[in-house]
Formats: sequence, C-alpha cells, structure tokens
Amino acid sequence: MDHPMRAYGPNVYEIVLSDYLAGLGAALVAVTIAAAIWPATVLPDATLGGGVLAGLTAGAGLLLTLAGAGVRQNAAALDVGIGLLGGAALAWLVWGAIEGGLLPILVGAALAVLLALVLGLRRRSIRARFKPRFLTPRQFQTMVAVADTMIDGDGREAIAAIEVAINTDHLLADVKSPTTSEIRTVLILLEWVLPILILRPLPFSSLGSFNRRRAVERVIGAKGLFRDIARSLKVLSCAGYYGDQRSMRSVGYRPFDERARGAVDQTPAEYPDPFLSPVRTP
Amino acid sequence: MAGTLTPPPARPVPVAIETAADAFEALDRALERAGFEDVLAAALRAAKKEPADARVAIKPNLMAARKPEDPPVSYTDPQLVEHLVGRLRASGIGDVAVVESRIGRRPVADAAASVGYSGDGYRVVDLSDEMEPFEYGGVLGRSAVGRTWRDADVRISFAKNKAQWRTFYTGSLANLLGCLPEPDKLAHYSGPGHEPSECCRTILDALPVAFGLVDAWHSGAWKRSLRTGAILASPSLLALDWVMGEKMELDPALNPVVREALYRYGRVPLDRRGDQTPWQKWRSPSVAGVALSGVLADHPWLLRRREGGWTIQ
Repeated sequence: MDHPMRAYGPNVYEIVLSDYLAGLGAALVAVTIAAAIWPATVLPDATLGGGVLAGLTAGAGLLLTLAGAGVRQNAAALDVGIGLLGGAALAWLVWGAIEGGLLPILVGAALAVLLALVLGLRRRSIRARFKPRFLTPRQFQTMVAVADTMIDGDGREAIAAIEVAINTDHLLADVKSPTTSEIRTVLILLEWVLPILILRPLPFSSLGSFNRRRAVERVIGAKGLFRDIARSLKVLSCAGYYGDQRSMRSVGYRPFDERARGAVDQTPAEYPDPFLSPVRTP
Repeated sequence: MAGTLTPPPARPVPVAIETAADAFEALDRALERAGFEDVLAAALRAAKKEPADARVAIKPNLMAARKPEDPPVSYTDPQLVEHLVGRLRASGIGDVAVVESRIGRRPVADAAASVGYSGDGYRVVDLSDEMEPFEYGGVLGRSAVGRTWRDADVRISFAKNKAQWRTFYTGSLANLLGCLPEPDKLAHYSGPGHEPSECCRTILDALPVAFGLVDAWHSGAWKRSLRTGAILASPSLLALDWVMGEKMELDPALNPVVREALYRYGRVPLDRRGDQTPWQKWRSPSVAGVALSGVLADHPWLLRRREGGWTIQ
C-alpha cells in the first residue's frame, strides 16, 4: 500500500490531543447539564455562585471543543479553554472543601488531572513539531508570533515565521552568554504582559497579527524596560531571518565562495619600466 | 513552510522487498535487487580503497536481545548478519566489523555470544569501549563516537522489523541510536534539545550510511511474534523505513525518527520492488499509547525505573 510522503502533517500528539479535547469538551458540557438538572447534588452550593461555576465549566468545555476541531488553527481557543478549565478545577476544589461536599471535590480533582493531561499533550505536540533546543514550547510559540510580527514583508518574506523562530532558537542554543536567560524573561513579559497594554488580556501568541503589531508599536516608542524589549525583539527577529542563507540571497548577498573573482581585476598591473624603455628622440 | 524541504533526488530510490524459500536466499535477492554491489563499489571508489584495504561496519539490532529467541523477533538474526559478512568477505573486503554499543552495563560481547555471533571472519566491536571525541554538529555537537563506526569506509544498518512503543516501529534509522556509544542512552540521547530522533538523524548526517537492510523474516509485532518472511533493502534508510511503515499499514510520518529524516532529506521518490501487500495480522501500538509514552518521557525517572537500559532500537 503506497503512502504519500507528507512532512507537515499532524504528529501523534496533535492527533491524540485533538480527539481528547473533543471528548473532554463534551464531558464538561455534560457536567454542566447535570448541574442544571440536579443542582443540589452536583454543585457545592445551589446559588448564583454555583451557577457561575457551572457556567465556567461549560465555557471551558465549549472552548476546548472548538480547540479540538483544529489544535493548530484554534490555538487561542485552546489557551483560553485551558485557563478556564484551570480556574474551574480550582473553584470546584476550593468550594467543595469549604462546603464539605465530596462530589464537588471529586469533580475538581478530576478536572485537575484532565487539565494536566491536556498540558502534557500540548507541550509534547509543540516539542515534537518544532523540537526547540533553547526555548520552552511556550516561548517558542511566542517567538513564532514575534517573527510573524516583526518580519512584515507583506508576503515577500524569503522564509516563513516558523523557520525564523527555529533559526533563532538554534542560535540561542549555541550561544554561551548570561544574556540568554534575559531573553527568556523578555519572551515571558511579551507573552503575558504586553497584550495588557492594548487591553487584550490574552497571550501574545494568541493575538491576531494586527493586534500583535499594535502591541509591538506601543513598545517601540516607549522608554525604559519596554524599549529594551523592543530592541530585543528586533535583534531576535533579524538574527533568525537574516541568519538564513535564503534571506541573505533575497537581499542580494552572495557568499564569498560563490562570487565571481572578476568583478574587480585583482591581477597585479604590469607597467613598463620607464628606464628600460627605448629613448625616443624627437 | 511548504517548499522548504530538500529537493528530491532525480531518480527514484529502489526499495527491495524480497520473499523466498529461505531467509538467506531472500537476503541475496534483496541485496541484488536494491543494487548493493553497485553501492559498495561506489563507496569504495569514493574512499579510494581497494576491497582488501576497505573497512566495512555492520550495525545489526543486537542489544535489544535480552535473551536468545528462536526465532529472533526482537533482534536481527545473527545468521543473516553472518551471511552478509560472508558475501562481503567473498567480495574481497579486508576488514568487516559487527558493531554495537552498550545499553546499560551489559557488554556487547556477552550479548553477541549469547545470541550466536561466532566472530568467524569478522570482529564484534563494542563501540562503548572505544569512545573518542568527535564533532557531530547539530544536537550532538562534540561528543563521543565509536572509533570503528567513525573510521569505516562503508557503513551498513541491518535492523529488525518490529513494533516499538515510542515510535510505532523501529527501523534502520532508529537502529543508528546504537552507534552512539554512551551506554546511558536516556541521559545522553533523549530529552529536550537532543531527542532520540534528532540524535539518529545527526549521526546519519555526520557519518553517512551506504546501505540499509531490515530483517523481516520473523517480526516482532506489538506483543506477539509473526512470520512475515521477507527481507527489505535499500541504499536510502529513509526510503527503507518508509516502506516498513507502509507494510505495517501505518502513516510512516507518525514515526518521529522517520519524520525527522524527512525534514532533513526531503521527500524521496520511491521505486518499490517486490510484494507491497501489508503484513497480515500485524498489530502496532495505539496512537494514544505512543502519545502517552511520549508525555511520560518528560519524566525520565519513570522510564529509568521501568526499563533499566533505555533505547528506541
């Protein structure tokens, strides 16, 4: 049976994560429906607060269902879904402990375990896809978003943002310098703090390209810490982009080995010795 | 990302899948059909060596043998390896070595003797005993190499056809992990920044392998043995492992080692020669099981406790 060679198909973790999210999303919605039918049994307290908790769980379920429809395409839904699921698990556990209800505690514990599996699968899926050497999977995603934002060639880029991020990651892995740990800090700040400046409390890598650009423009003109962040972003992106042979060629650079020797004739010029030349008399 | 792979080779790469009355005949036919003699001659020309001066290293799957099996389903059949050695010696090759590295503490010589390697006409080399520093580049950087594997003029990977719990199946590419000589494979050739798949690809890049073979006479399907009655051969390890996956009715790109090679070497046009029918009654690990084992691999102490000596060969 012939199988066509495909290099960029989903990896095994993405396939399992996708199926798992679809099932988990449906299960969370089912828990919410059960809470609506038997509020006194399922919820820690059948009040407005209990309703909000059930709603939080349902929201996580819907977002995770959406994420399960395409883990690469719906990464933002996965981010927010994971956040809601974490919040819901914590709320079930704490509230159950305060009210002394066994079922809410069990639900909270189960949600925590399920969340850990989502996180583990997601982490491995990114590692299996990109194999980052220096950056963590989350930092790598941030770096892809940075490259996509900073290398704004309107479709004329010589290499894709993912390749820029891979180049930068490999470069950082080879560099032995104390500043590399600061780069990690920059990427963390960028991922979680910078979007707040433009009133988008979401991870930087989950924003669309327009809003990422707006966030970066905010720091380009800023002073102090944010100016340092802007400089770091420029260095990281340029190193990854212009460090690639294809990008070098796209801007006209030719490696020395490939250059023709004859653009400038470097052979020593020979001039006749004026003392040996025959004396011409008028 | 599309279009960034290495351009495919101009000519399709042959992959022979040979069946016969006995395994030795199948091996001979597979070698012939995949053009082994031409590959060997070209490799010797490139090395500027006469056959009598040439050094050939064969890497079978050997250290997976925890105990002798009859028939062997988890390691390459030693009789087939010795048959290949005999052919090489008949071609006038002066020095043939069967190489492996330790997994954990068990010496290669012990494992080789226990499964029936005689050492007649060849050397059994423990690469862990002859470690020297070497610049691999990539994820391995400067790390240990086995001298015999490094210095060989012709390298051959002779793998076993079997299922594997982390990669679905292990083939001629994963077999190269055993050419990396550090005995603690889990510590040196696994984890973020140096995944096993990257390590296999890096050693292949640094020390190219001229020819690949797969002993699929008896195979290790998932938790069972199966008589599959074939030998596979190809000058391209990627092509060979791809066809292995096809025979198991798997998407070979799900195997991380194959995928890594695909990223590095690009798509290979295949010239499949022989019976392409999938193995009957073959069973592979489940997708969920492989994914879960990968998640657990983030916690190496779990693997260490479970397996002792760890490998993906």
